[in-house]
Amino acid sequence: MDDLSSAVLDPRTGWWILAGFSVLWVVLGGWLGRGSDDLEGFMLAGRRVGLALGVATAMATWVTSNTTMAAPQLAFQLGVWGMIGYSLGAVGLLLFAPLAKRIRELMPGGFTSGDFVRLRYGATAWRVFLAISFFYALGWLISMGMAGGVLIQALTGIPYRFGMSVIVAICVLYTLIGGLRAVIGTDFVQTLIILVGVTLLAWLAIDRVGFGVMHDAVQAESPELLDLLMPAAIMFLFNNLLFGVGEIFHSNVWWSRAFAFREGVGRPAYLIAGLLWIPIPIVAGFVALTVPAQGLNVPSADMVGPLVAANLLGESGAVLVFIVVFAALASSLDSLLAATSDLVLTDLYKGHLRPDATSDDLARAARWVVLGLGVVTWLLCLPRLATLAELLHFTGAFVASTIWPIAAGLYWRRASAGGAVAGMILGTTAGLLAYFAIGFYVAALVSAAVSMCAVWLAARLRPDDFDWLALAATGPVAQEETRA
Amino acid sequence: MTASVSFLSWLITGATVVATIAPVVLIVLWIRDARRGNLW
Repeated sequence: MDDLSSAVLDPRTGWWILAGFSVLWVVLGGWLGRGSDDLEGFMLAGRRVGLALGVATAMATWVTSNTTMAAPQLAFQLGVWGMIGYSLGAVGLLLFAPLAKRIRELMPGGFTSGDFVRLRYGATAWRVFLAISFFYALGWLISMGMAGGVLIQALTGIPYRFGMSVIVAICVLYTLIGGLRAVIGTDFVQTLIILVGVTLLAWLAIDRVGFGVMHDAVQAESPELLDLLMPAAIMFLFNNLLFGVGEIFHSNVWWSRAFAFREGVGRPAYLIAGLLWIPIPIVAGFVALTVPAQGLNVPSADMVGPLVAANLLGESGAVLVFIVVFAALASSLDSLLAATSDLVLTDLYKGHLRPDATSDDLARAARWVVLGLGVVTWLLCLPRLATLAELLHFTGAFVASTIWPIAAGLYWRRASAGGAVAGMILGTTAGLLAYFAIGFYVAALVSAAVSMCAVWLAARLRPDDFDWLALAATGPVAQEETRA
Repeated sequence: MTASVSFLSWLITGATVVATIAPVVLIVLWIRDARRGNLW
């Protein structure tokens, strides 16, 4: 079945929704981001983000199109544990809460996660970390851009290249105009849209189908989905947990927010965001369990969410899902664009190409970097190569290797540069070997375990005695003040 | 071990109630921050 004939909305409606929300995000982003012209304003929203916006941006960024579309797919394929396993992605947010407080205290003038690794472990660890960070960020950017095009085509029949181009262009445009303030401000509205959309659909499914009928139909047609000891689902649960922790601990998406939040906001913001995020994959996912009761024919597992919505609500259900997916895509893509641009600007441009660049030089270059990264993402997404989207599948091995170098580096004086480098390299290598030899569900687990051993062993054999004050004078602004 | 109706009902209703309250929590926090001048 081709995408046009299987689309749940007609392209005309799709274009109207795309146009309407594109204008909304650009106007809102431009308005919210006004006046953020200096470096700290553009990159870190002036370091004054409050609790409400902090909670919403953490939630919105972690609710990707995957959460809204793959959660029903996982429930459809792995049953109860599929959606519970997905909801354990919240553990990363919860564990990052104390780290965010520590990061803000140790590095009040910090800009990126790269700043921390460079000052804590030195140049070699910094470069290994940057390689992992860029590989992951690029994989996530491409997968988000491609998911945008694919989902818009599947839902509306709008051709892949048009849909992908619109979603990438809109996110680049408002990030370019308003920087992190635009990203965080639009995240707040996008979070409300996502939450209202998924809960509305959930209450309708509960009301129209009911738990008894749903349970009986699943037990009759696919009893394995109700099996609480399904091995594949339990392994998925642990892998997803560690993958999520690795993604959040190392990625500048989360570090830049820790730097951008007001003093005292980081810990409660990540904690509340994590707690409120836990139910979302369950709420978005369980609707797939109503498929047998509704007698739906699902041609492709990744379209189960929109199909259930369309069956329950008619065309308005499909519109609702499309709006939720568009909001989820934009809220993650803009955050990733902004945070990766910060890493390119601070750690590549200033760190490697122009060490003497002032904060004014960097403020001017920041917008060019956002635009350049947007163009690169668009070009890489254009051919719709499935192999590129699969990059993200490998990144579990990479990101899980950074968990212990980051956590130990923040709290343990004895954690050493040698341990961090060995942890990241050996952890990634072992994780990749496990990925190919055993399966995707053990890559993050093996990577994190090997990395932990390397960090611990190095700290025992050749311990460091790190002075935390060395982290205080970080970032281009602090460096200029020190020079002056 | 199979999930019972009551387990499913408890899990899904609980999650949906929390997710329904979440936007209210965000709006209350937003109003609190706005009143104190702490939004940005």
